[in-house]
Amino acid sequence: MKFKAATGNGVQNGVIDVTLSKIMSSYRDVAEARSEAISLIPQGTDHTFTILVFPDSSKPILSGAQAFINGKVSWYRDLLASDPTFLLHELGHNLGHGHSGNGNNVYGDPTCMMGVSSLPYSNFYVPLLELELTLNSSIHTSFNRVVIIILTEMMIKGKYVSMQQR
Amino acid sequence: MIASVTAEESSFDCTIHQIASMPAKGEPPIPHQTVCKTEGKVENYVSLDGDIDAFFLKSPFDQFEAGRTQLSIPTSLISDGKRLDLDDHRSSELIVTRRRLGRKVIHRIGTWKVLAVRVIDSTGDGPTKDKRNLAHDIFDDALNLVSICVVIIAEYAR
Repeated sequence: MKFKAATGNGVQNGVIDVTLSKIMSSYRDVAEARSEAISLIPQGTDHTFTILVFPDSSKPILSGAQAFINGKVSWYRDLLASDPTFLLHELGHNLGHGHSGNGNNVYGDPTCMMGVSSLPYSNFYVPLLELELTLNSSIHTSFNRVVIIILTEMMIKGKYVSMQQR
Repeated sequence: MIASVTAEESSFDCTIHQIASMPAKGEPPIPHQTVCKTEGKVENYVSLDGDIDAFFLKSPFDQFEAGRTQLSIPTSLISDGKRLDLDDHRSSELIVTRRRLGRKVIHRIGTWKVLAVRVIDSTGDGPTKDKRNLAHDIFDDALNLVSICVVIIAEYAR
């Protein structure tokens, strides 16, 4: 599977701006703002999946990031869209994955991108070895491999540390 | 009394979608939401309240599939223009369920184009990252969707 940047009128390197008709705080819910944003995407834009990046002022109506399961749209509050673990988690929903839970905790599986291991700030404490040991037992094997790659790259680049300090 | 739909009554035709969330640090988890929305450029949607599993046990399909199961809902059942109570006994009598026709598109293979949309409000308040930096983070950085997909390709090649 491969992803690449969309193309089309007004699209620069896969990114486009749309301007809503109202101030962010006046939207009754994120669905209303999301619907308007999608309607503003120019006709003819060549893409399958859509990532909507809202400003930080969307916080009252948007907690974190969300996605349609088995859908084509995901939406993020501001800088979360720049975080590959959030992108991958929400993309996983678009691909049909639910959360990977444990007991009553829907995010309770610390070994899987669709559980808490995808939370970048405080939950990347899981040692690489522990992740590797779970590879064969998880239904989200591909995602776990991705976690390891991301973790490794983050540690090499020092990005992991900066994320913890955010 | 069994409710009935008149020939003139309009219906809202939509596809069931589930919304899953991941909270930012320190913020509480958000429960899954189930909505039924129209396809196409302009989204119209209703929130599905009540026991959706119980509702589908009475339907021809037993269960629904997000993004694929469709409903035809008499508009009289939709309250406030936005909500549908599946526990209302009229729902199981009047709502028509069906599966989307045609081949199921499997997004798990192939090359897919991703569009990142910076949403700016009417005051000009937009995302922190400008177009260039957002494109860099999502598509050009070493840690991005494109590099992630390489791993997935390798997985499929195994």
